[in-house]
Amino acid sequence: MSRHSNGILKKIYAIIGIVLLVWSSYLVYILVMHIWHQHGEEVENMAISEEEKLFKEMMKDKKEVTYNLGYKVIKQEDIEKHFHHVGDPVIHDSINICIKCHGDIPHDKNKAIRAFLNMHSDFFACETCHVRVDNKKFIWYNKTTGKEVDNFEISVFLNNIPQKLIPLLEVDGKFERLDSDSKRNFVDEFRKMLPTLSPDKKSQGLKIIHKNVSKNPVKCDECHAPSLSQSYLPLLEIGYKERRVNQILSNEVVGMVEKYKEFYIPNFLMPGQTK
Amino acid sequence: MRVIAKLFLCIVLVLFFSSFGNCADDENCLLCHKYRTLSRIDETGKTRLYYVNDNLFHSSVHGKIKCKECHSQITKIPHEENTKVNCLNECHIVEPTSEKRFSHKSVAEVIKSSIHSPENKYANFSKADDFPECIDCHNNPLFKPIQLFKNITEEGQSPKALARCNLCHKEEKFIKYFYNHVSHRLHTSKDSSEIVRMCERCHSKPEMVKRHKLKNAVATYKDTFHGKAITFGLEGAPDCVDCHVRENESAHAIKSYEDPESSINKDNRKKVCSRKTCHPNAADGIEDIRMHVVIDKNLYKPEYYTALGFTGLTLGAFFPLIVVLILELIREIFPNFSLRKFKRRK
Amino acid sequence: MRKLPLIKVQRGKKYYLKMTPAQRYQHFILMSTFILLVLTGFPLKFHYYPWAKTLINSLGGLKVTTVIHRICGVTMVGLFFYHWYYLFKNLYVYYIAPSIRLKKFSLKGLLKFIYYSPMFPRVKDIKDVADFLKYVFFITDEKPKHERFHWREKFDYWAVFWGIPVLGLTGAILWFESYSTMFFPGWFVNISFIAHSDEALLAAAVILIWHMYNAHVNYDKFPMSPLFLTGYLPEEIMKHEYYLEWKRINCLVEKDKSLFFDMDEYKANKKKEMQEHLLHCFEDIIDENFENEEKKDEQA
Repeated sequence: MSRHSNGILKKIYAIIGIVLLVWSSYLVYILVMHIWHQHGEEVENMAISEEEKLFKEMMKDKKEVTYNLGYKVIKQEDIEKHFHHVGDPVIHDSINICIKCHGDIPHDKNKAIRAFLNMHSDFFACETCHVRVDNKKFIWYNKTTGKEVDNFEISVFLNNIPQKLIPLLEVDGKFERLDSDSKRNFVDEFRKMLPTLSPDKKSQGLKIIHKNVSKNPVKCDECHAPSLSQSYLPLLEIGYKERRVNQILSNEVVGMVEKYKEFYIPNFLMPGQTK
Repeated sequence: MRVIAKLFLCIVLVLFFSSFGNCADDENCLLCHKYRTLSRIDETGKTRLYYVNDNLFHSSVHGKIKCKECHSQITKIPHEENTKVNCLNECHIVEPTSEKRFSHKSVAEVIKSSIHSPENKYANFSKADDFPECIDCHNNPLFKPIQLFKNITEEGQSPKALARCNLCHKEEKFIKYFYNHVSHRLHTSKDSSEIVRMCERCHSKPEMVKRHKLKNAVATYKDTFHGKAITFGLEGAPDCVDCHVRENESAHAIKSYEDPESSINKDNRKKVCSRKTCHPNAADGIEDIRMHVVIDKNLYKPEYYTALGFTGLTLGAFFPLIVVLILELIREIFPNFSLRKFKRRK
Repeated sequence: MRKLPLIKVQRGKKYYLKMTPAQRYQHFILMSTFILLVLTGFPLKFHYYPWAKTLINSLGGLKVTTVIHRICGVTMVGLFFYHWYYLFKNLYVYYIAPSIRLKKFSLKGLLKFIYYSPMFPRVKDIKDVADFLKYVFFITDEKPKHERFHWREKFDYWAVFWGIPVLGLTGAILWFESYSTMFFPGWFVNISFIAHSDEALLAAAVILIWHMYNAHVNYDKFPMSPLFLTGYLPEEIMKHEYYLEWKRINCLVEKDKSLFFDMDEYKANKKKEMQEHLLHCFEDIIDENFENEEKKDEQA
């Protein structure tokens, strides 16, 4: 390039050059100063309270560990003070609308059964239990793509599967997914706008979003019922094989459900509703 | 043909599960605990996971033990709250040499003499809460058979070796378990990076380090060539246990460096460095090379001043150069702004 | 030895000699070992970054990179010793031998020769820096006029001159850790470790930013200067950056035309020669045929 060429080009070059130089010297500074605070986390962490520490801990990324057994390699989440191995990570549902606010492990109130309820959220969308439908029609959707899964057959227990069950809502004789595109868009928009919305609008929005949520969700023994005809979920229609249906309705499960009879409706799913 | 294959697979699966089902899950705990998402968030905001990976459990050293032998406090459904596992429980497995019921009690005794016990006189801070329990270092050890043979099976076993066992011992399950048990014990169950990660749990916790008047031992170690070799996966590089534990002793017996019995006591350190597989030709004085260097004025003066000097040199040499370049570039943006104009005669 | 032309003309453009082949080879060795040392060394220093592992693995794992690092280190230190030899050889060839032959050898002359050798820092460099500062602070619009190597290049040169012994010595201590405690106390290994990696960082920063900018990516030379490959600089850069050197070479060439080498003319001549040669051959063949035919005719 000739130095007699365009003056403007040279100016642009110089400005880009200055930016790059400042950036690179910042990089060099960071790299040089590493030696002074690579063990210096101590000072930083000492001053903060227990609560802040917890928060900080929570914001950290999940750590993954690998165990090389020689003949195979196991990768799993690293959980402190956890004795049993967990193996594969949970397949996360990135489609469900409720989870966006309520999280993947939302059940918390009832000590005895919260873990069971959370367990079911692996293969049931929140709406399956929290929206009672009269004309029962359910579909399975893919947790990552959201697409409907046809011909899903279940003969063994569902553990960490890529599908989830969601009920369809009957509107004017037509069945519609509870997480329809319009609803999804509304929720996304609402979440984005939340900081700027006026307080009454916020309540309005929440009301609209939770419109279909029923006051008393489906209880354990409504599905794990003594017989198929008494079960809330049309187990055979949604794909469960007869063998598996028998297990779900078996004395073992139903009997255990009986032991956990005391039930609790988490009222945070229903804003404006106090118990 | 496919039907037969499926049938066969079913039979195999049923046999597989039923065989193990009998030995470990009499109580049918897995009815619930086989679900990956059986979990909740506890009061402190931590995730509590109640899932047991059946497959991995059965390829672990405890694979033959029933849930209740460890979780002995659990007696009913719904379970009692805050139950704890006591590793020193006697379990129903009989230790063949003594014919007594097996327990980890002897480990606890060794720990008592180590620096990891609050009663140790070299401990700088002796609050029992701070000292490790089994669970702090161990999770369920997975069988890691030796890999000397060709044609290893999916469980890491050599069919040829198993065939030799088969001659005298009849029960397949027993043979496999025994094989795994023995070959697993022929080497450390944790590889080096696992050991470093284990020690890191406590030894790089800032508040812990401060209470016990220590330094971040793992971070400083990772900064040495030993630590880097492990970071980059060089086999045979020394981890924490290799130096801090006396040769042919259990890692549970680890001692303070001040303890004359410790492998890294000043008088014993050279022996550790000059092990056959490490620095066999090491000259005297190799024990004085510091392995846990912190840049601290009071602790390690030469290192501190070297670091200071070179940081000063680097920044002092580099930044003026950058300033020169930036000034030059600024000047080139405004080529005609100078006070005196000579303007090259053309 | 064949004398190198100081000016080459290629495709109508003039190129000025700045680096002799020996210097170019030294630079090339220095450059390649330096790049390899940085690539194999820095992942170790910054082992906590995720790229470190990727880099080491892509170079074949730690076992390979340590060997590469050591080979390159030894080569670089070897180059350093060779360079000393090169300096003394030049001192002998260009001053000591001629001055003894002319019976004019003196210590003062020797020191003067060293002082005026192209890489030695001189008072003029301080003046140049001052002039440069005047230029960048908008006091004047005249840039300092440089000789063959200006102060920036001298800085690079002396930085490497200081860096190699520091890195080489500390590197050797770390390499032979079992023996180094025979000669030094234990903490010396620790400070070698700090010094080795910090000095390397300085060197890498200076080379990758300062040197790359000055030698290659600045506006006049963007994106790359041909100097390190050919040893010659185009006239515009020579005149712009090394005005005094440009003038000196022009002067020399005017006195001695053999230092001027016109590649275009040479090529043109060669082409002409070739054509003439071909023509000659062609004529010969025709002649031969002609003679043969004549002979045939005669026989007939």
